[in-house]
Amino acid sequence: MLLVGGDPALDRHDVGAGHPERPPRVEAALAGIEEAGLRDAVVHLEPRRASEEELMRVHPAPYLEALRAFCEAGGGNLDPDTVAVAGSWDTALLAAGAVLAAVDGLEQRAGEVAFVAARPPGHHALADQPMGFCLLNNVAVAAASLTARGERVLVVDWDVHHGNGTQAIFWDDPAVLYVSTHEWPLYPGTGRVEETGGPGAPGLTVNIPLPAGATGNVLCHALDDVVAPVVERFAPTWVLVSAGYDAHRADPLADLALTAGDFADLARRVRAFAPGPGRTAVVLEGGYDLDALRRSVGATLASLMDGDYRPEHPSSGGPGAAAVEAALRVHVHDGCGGETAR
Amino acid sequence: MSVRRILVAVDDSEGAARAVRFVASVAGPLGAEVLAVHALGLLAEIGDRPVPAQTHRAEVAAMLEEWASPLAAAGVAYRCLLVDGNPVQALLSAAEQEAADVVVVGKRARAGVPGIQLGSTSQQLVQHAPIPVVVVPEAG
Repeated sequence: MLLVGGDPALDRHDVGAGHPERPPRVEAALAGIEEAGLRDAVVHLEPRRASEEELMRVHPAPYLEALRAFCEAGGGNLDPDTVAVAGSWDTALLAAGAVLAAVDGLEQRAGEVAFVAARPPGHHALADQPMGFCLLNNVAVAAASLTARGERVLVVDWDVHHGNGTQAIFWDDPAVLYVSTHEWPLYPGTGRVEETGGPGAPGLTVNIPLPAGATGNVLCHALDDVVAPVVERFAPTWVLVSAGYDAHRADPLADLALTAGDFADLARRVRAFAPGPGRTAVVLEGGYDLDALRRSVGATLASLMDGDYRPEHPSSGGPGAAAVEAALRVHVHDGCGGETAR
Repeated sequence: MSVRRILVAVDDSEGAARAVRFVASVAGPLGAEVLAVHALGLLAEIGDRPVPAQTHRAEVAAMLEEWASPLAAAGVAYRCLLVDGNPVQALLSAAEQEAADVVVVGKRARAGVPGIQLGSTSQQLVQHAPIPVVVVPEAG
């Protein structure tokens, strides 16, 4: 079964016309499930809010209190990109809670794969700073809940933007392997291949920055040749996917050239990184072209559920081979460390 | 210490304009080169609504040149630099990569939110920059 979290009816984080991170994104993502023919496989997760205790594994109490108060006072601009309104706090709690519910559902063996279509996204949010449309780092909160139970978590972030928040939060944590493919140069300006983790977690941050125009075959090559050996050494017990769909060629915010079909190929590879069924949760991050988002989510989940839904052919022929070679040198040939399973 | 390279943060705000005017007045006497740096976020304000910054890089670069034009008028040697990221991180990164000796920013009217690292770019730069930071006040 496919566990699905996220409820558009509870979404009160509407920051106004013209902002690309908007409520219809959730509806588009959920429509992708229908379009992929997965309706009968879906089990909807009960919405719940992340507790203060769960959030505080990642975000300090003063930050949470300040953000809550800021929203309750009506909100405003948190940075040039990031806006909060009165309903943002509760919506953010529900988004983080949905990822926690997905992990709990998988743990209770209610499904083989979980997908969370909730917003605001999370991977740019630092421990004490909102940024890049993100308020709470949803994936980081779930990863931290898992590592608190002794699990080893692989976070694969295929959003077109580097997940600077997730990287920073787990920079020195030997229980989390963070892998990001992203366009470079691009916001937020982090994610160089040389960023490989802190002294407590050497080699457990894997960045594969790719040039504009890179196609799906380049990302697949990166996962096969760079990421797979690192994952094998790390031996994760869980896989969380920061699934942004703004690497799609139709996305207005960036210039990678993926298609919906590519996400099916990426998903199949990422599923193979998990130790078995029921240990992969896919969490929506970016993706701002609603049609591309719908098709790409459908292709991702169909692939994870052994279905056949590829509304667009996979892409190939774009640049990026040199970038993958650079990452290969850093993480495989030179072997910059990397914790192995205890 | 000698000041050979000044980094000034520029955007469409009045505070940034004050900072540029201040730098235009001091860079010549100091014999310093100026780097006018703008942090490119996810969105850019062009016209009256936010647009994707990445696909409007050329327009933002042109706006950056215009924001920095008082430097040209003052006959100061300067370069314009677009850097990806949030203002504080982008300015710190540019200052390090370009070996700037001092960072100049305008003080914005908007107050920060206690407990959240945001709002005041100048406050965060003062806290985190390894080089001197000049904050140009409203009366400057």
